[in-house]
Amino acid sequence: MRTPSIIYSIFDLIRFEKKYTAFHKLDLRTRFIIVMCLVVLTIFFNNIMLLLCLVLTSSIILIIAKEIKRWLKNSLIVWVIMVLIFLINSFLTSIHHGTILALRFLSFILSISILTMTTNPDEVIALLTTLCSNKKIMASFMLSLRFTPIMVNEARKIMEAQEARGWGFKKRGVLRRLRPIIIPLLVRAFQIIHNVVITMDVRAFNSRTRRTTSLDQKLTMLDYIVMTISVAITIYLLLVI
Amino acid sequence: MKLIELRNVTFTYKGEKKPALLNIDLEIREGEAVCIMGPSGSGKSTLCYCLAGLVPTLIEGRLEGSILFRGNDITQIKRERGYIGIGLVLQEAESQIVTLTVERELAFAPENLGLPKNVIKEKIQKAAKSLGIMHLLHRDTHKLSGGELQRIVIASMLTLDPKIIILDEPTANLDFKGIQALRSIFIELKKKGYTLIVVEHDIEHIIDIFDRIVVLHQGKKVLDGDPSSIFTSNDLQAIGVSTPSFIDFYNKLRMAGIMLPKPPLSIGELINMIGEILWRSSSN
Amino acid sequence: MEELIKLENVWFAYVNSNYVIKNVNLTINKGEIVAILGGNGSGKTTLIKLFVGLLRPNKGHVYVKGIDIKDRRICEIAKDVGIVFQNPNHQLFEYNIREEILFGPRNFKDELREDEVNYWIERLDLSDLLLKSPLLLSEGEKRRVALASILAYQPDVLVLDEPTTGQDRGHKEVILNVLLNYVKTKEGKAVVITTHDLDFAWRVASRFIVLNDGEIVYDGDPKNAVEKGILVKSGLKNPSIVELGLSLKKMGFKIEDYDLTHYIEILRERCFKR
Repeated sequence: MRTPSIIYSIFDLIRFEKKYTAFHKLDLRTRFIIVMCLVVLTIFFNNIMLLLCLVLTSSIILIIAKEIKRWLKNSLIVWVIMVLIFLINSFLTSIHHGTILALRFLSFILSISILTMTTNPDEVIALLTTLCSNKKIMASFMLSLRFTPIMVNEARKIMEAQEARGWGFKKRGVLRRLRPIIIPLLVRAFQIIHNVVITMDVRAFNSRTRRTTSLDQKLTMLDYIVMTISVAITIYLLLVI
Repeated sequence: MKLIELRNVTFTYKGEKKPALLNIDLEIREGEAVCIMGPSGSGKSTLCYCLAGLVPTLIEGRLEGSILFRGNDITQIKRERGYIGIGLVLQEAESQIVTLTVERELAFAPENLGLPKNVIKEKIQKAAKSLGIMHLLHRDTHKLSGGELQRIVIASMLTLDPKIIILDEPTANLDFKGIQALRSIFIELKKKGYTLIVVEHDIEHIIDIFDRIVVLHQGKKVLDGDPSSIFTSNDLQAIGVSTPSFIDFYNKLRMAGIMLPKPPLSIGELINMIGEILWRSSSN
Repeated sequence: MEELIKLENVWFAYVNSNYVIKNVNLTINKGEIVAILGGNGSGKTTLIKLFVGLLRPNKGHVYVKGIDIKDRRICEIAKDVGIVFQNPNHQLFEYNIREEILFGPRNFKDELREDEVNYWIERLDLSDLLLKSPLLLSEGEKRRVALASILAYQPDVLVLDEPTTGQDRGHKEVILNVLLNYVKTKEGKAVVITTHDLDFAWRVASRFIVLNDGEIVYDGDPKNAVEKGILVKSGLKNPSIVELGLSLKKMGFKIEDYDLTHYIEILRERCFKR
């Protein structure tokens, strides 16, 4: 079973790739603030020129983060939707309005992509750990991030093993057809959960002592400067325009 | 010093009629390297869970008899402390790694114990050095090989400062080089004073590190002794336990009248012994 | 035609990765039992997936019974090339063993006869487990059920990925005999195994293929492979019976056959000369 390339490209826009650029060095919170500023401005700007500036800004950030090539490679569906938005709205209201909405969509996608392409799930967990003190909630979140790709992989292995026995040859009802996949998947899920529960217990997760952390989650001077500048510019622009 | 003691333990999983373990009396002493063998379904994994103190608190079922750790009942320790402190490495390393980076993985146990930051960092460094995985510390856990994952799991157990480490079929998915590397790790751990309990099907390549072999069959302990005496016992074939090839050769050579002094613990040893016999017979 | 599987200049790489199979040329012929050997990461599992079309080559061709598998679906190819994977938990799902064994055949032709199913149940020592669900068996038992389920539809090429992991000595013998008989009594069948167990490979295989970093470094007679030291060079261990024989050779004995009875004869001759 091969994934259609459109779906693959959507996943690739979300996928994180580890890089070491100036942008990646900023703390997660800083990057989040930058992107949020861009999103807020995208929502409020009503001028084609200003929206183009936002698109330019997002693109520059992607260039700094060395992700522009990957974005462009997977952007076909974005352009397609943009054109659709333009055509539909131009027809319903005016060309001007259509352009605005299309640009708004582009700016929005670019901003979100910046966040998804440069955020390591590990950073998210690290940040949430410092904020949330309930170890069970944190563990659930972390385990789901850790084991979702593993379960997807298991499903793939099961499909391969069953295809190698002739599964998929005869067409039957949907549920009957999926049974050879769902049951082994459930079995594997139970086996993995069993091991995880044991491991957590062995590593003292259920101990009575309060959990500590060994993370260093500091914000540097650069982070503060960048955050302040971003917020300041955003507020200024919102007031002025 | 008796570290773990199973006194007349019979354990039946919840919902099952037949007990998985029957009347087991077993003592594990400090510093020992014990191998637990037995055919598939003989209760080896259940025994692992008992030795790790997971029965009956985490693994549900009916437990008869008692399991003691350093003389204290396991259920009591669990109730007071919340954890036992015995390392357990299961077969699928991938499902034993719960975080997203290696460093966080090694930090997991000490963080659960509520240790201060600098102590945790020290423990991470120490464990990573012991297992030779310093270069992996900043890697993501989903992109590693089976052998690397196994080392990370062992290292993460070490951060608990356990006295005992139990491993369930650690050589199952390793190739020859991997088994040699594992053997070195075991030797290092033994030197550092850890007690090792390893469940294995085939110990051809690591037999020489064990002081003691325990054989299970249908939930009962049937043999318990040093490798040489266990593998020359006649009952093994009936039980279905794999004998290392060189001991097989030793037995057959003896039956043919070629008497080697003692059962070898490696193919090299067997060859040396044959060499000696030939030399002795030629010089007579 | 003699060739059941043929790989011609096959190169394979996973997405965004380096080549893991490099310029592989090999054929699997009727009547052979081939052991594919190599360390972890050498490409053994990738190679067998290429046999059945689970993976498609980036360059080169894969032919099954003379036809390029390029445009064929996996479930069609699987009729001729049956793979028993390492983890039986990826395959077992039916209510009982009988149903499980019938799954494959049902996909390719229709029902098996009662006696045919019973044959495989007995052959793999599964008679005691008939009333149990495959999901509740021990790992070793599950492996044998998975093997039975592939044997049941008699693929021309039977491929097993690490068949002896976790098997007791008795069941290793059962599998050994099943494999030896598969190519002997069944006309035109072949068996391919990937394994770390050199002792098992030595006893069962008529041909060794050694993979190292995705390339075939040896393809031929097992005896030749050990005498040329190919296994050791690739980081593998010689089968113990061979190791003993090679050492006896070094001690000056004339070894014709790597067989324990032969060694004993020679040693007795020397020891009890006087």
